Amino acid sequence: MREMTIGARTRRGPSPQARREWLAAYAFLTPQILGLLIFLAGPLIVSIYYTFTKWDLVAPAPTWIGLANWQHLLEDPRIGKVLWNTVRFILTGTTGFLVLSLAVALLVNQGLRGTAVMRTLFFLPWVLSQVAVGTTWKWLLNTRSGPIVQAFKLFGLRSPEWLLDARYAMIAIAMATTWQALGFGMTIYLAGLQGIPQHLYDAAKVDGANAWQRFRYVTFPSLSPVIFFLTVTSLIGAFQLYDPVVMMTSGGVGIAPGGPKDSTRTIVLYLQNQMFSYSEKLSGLGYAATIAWVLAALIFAVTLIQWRAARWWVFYGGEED
Amino acid sequence: MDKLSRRRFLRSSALALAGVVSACAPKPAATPQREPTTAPTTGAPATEPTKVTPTEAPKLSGTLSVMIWGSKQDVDEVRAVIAGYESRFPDVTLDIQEGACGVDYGACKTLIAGGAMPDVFVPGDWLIPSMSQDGVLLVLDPYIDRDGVNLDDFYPAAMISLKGADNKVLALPMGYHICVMYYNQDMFDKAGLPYPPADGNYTWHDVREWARKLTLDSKGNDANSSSFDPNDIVQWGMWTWPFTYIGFEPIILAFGGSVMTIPDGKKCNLEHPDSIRGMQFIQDLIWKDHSTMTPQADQENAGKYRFAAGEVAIMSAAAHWQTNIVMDQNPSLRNDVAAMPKEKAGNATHIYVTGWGVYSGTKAPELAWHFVRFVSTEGAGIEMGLIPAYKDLAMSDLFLKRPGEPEHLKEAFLDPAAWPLCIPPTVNNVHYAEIIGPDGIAPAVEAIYLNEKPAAEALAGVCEKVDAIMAS
Repeated sequence: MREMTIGARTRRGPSPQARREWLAAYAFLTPQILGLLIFLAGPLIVSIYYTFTKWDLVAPAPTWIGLANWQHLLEDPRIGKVLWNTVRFILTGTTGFLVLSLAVALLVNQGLRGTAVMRTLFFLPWVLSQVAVGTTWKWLLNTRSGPIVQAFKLFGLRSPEWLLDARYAMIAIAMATTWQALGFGMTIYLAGLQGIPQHLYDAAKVDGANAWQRFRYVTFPSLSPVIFFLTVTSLIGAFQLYDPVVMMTSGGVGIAPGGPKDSTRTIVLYLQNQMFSYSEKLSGLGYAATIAWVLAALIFAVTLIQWRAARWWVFYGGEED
Repeated sequence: MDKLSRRRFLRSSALALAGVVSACAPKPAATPQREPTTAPTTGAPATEPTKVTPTEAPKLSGTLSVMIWGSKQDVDEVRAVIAGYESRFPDVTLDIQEGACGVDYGACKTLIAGGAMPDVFVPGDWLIPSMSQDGVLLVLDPYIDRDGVNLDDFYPAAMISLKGADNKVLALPMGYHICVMYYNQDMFDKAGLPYPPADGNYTWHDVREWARKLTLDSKGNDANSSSFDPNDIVQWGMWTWPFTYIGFEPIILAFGGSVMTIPDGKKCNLEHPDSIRGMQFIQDLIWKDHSTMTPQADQENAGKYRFAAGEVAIMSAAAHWQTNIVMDQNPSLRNDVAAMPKEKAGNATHIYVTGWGVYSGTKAPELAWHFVRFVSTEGAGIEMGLIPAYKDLAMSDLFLKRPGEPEHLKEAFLDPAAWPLCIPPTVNNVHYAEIIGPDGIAPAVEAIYLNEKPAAEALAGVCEKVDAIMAS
């Protein structure tokens, strides 16, 4: 039957042609939908279940323990520490990345000679793996012959024990990650900068705006969607910090998995440690899943706050004041 | 040619498709004979075979998965031993996998949860207490008793830490590392020092004196000289493991202390005056004498490589892998070994063992046992830089006269295995990893090695934490 009645109106159902198109569309979409269900939705649901269980992976099946993992989380003295470590990384690494990559983008956007080469050089580290970057920086920062330490000596300064001192270890990781991501941030900023109409600057000049005022009232508002995008994505990345921490401060026999005095143990590293670490009392898969959900909730909350706050400082083209 | 009808075409296609599918499908494995034993086929892994039929000869056919780990050289050596088994028993198909299970329990757990745990693997003794508690390893005693395997064929010290609760054997030893002193003979000659006696008849205070003389700055001043510049050291007197129990435990044991009480291992002993004295001795070597590599120098380039490069005179608590590094990187280096020195409690060293173990959930326990037995005894080889635990092999010229081996191999590596203070620290202590970790003694040890606090101050209160871990 090809006619359908909706309320008082009667209209014809989809034509055979339209139906065939729908079928074809769903046929093409089915693998993706199945993939999402199997590899994303499925594990997500299962991981919620795991938060109410205890399982060391050796026993044949998880044991239901109700809310014990969530209660343990509230009483776990390490959670505060690992969250603070993540905040320290955000304050140093994420902020450094956002500010420095903007500075570099403004510099290479000046159209000076050699700009193309500079862009390429800044972008190169982005294509490296974080493991390679961590290993390289571990060598750069070694406190005897590392080039950074030697540079301090040239100026008659004493270099910190970058990777062995709890005060500096996270800063060292922030330096490495900023160095790697600088080129990526620069590229995104550049795309935004090159989309700002020249007539806005011309008008500002006519109105007597100096360089700072042109940046404050033209560049920054025009660039705000790009800054917003980079802030959201880099904060998500900061919450997921793992590889550089392991490579730079957690390797070697006898070195605890969180760097000196646990100063670089991030929430993801802690999650992994709770599941697999050799040198700690393990809480198993259930507790690790609980930490993972806390991490997901945190990322969601922080991103939501950013979205809400965006209305006050992010300006999209075509918007009315 | 007849025109193909639609029905005939479809039928032919279906047959062809079925043929292709069946050709691509995995071939059924050669029917393994059901073993007379007993490892569980479902449910939780059992820790013990429930029934063994001693009279039934093992069926030497089937497939066995074996997981090995280590550096490329380690893996090559183990593969050579396995090749010996394959040539001797060609009806057994071995699926050799490389993976971290054996060195890292987490890797085993993921394999177990995924149903992909190999039948045989190579567990380090540091995993035995946890694996024993979880029932991951097949108890081998019934097989040993049935087949009359003489455990006296192995060095007794190598067997201690491969036993789990109730003294059950959970693996047969592949080999062991025992901590010894490697030394650079040219450096000793140049400094006019006698070589350390190979049998360990010298003290830690002798070593301290030697290390100061052997530490040189770029101007050639040794650490005893008033002109010595500790920021410009080009030759280190000594290296020892930074931060880890492998480095400090032989020293505090010789001084009369220990991490845990001896022999019961039930209580923390690190706040004992002798333990503190031993830890302070290490801190003084590094930061007062400047004769032992700092953790920072080790971070720059590990001591084991510096020794091979001729930058370190004495390697304290090094194991036999050091010979492999020297042979690989600088075969012309003149070096020898001596047993670890003594102090008031006598000579002390540290032993850690790597074994061949069988997963308790294996479907082929009999075949797995057959393999483990062969590669541990008559088919054993020199593997993974270890001292062979099988006495026949260890005492043979194949090992003792192997090109590149140090001259006093026997005195340094074999004889100390009988010392009373040759102790595997992890034995029967499921909490040991946690004790040495960040919830236990690691922060105090870190403070000592980084010279943040004197040993007595750093260790104050540490036993309260350790005893709490033991009680948990």
